[in-house]
Amino acid sequence: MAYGKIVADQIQHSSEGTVGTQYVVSGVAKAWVNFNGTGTIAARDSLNVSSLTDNGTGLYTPNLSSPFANTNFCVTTGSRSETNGYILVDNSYYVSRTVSSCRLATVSDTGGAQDGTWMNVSYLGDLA
Amino acid sequence: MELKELHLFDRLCWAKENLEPHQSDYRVVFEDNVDEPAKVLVPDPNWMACAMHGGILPPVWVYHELERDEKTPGFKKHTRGYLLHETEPMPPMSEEEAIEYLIMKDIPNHIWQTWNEGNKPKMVICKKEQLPQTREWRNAWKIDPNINSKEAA
Repeated sequence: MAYGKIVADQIQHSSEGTVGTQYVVSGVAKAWVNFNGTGTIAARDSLNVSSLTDNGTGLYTPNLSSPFANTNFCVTTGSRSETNGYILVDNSYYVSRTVSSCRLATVSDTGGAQDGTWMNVSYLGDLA
Repeated sequence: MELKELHLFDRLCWAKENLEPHQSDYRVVFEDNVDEPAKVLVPDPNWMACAMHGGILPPVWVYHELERDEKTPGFKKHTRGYLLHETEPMPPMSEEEAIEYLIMKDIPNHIWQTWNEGNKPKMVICKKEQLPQTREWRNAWKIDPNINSKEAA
């Protein structure tokens, strides 16, 4: 099987203007995962994720297959718990952040660790 | 152009579109800090499909090389990312070989290199159904100190 490639610096829409392909490449999520953080945690679907580590109640680390060039990648998160509704995800664990992983912590509105039923995480940045 | 000639990310995107995810029943329990509960590594189904298909994932030593670069004082950005994209990819792996690869990739070196040294195993490969079925006392989970190290292997 052959895998084709189109090389272009810009993409032009018929009426809405032109955009540089570097913006398209830069703006695309390089990894994402939707997982259930309750019970035996499990990914529902993903891209560029090799595994999930369950570190304890409300503590998770998705591990990436294709790592970022540095640790300054952007992580966006959203989460919901079946018992507590919307819960907050802290993805700013810079101490344990590497180019291929970022620890997440989920807490309820009272500040206690809370497992998330619907954990959604996406990553943007430059790959290595 | 062949699959192995694509960048790793492009190979993963191809796999996502073309391979059926493989849900492994294997889990890896490990302890890397006495003050923290046991951690559980869960393989990703899409990644398992890549490992078992072959021709997609780089050898695990590539990740270790990059990890070594990252630990170099003054590290700012990877400059040897080409190792991920240009090294001959791994051939098809069995499910068990894929789990071994994943351990060496995603679990800290000091755990899997010395998993059976000390008073009790620091790492156990098990099946999903062998884990506690509820998360009660999740923050107190530990590897059983009486576990037979042959079973743990």
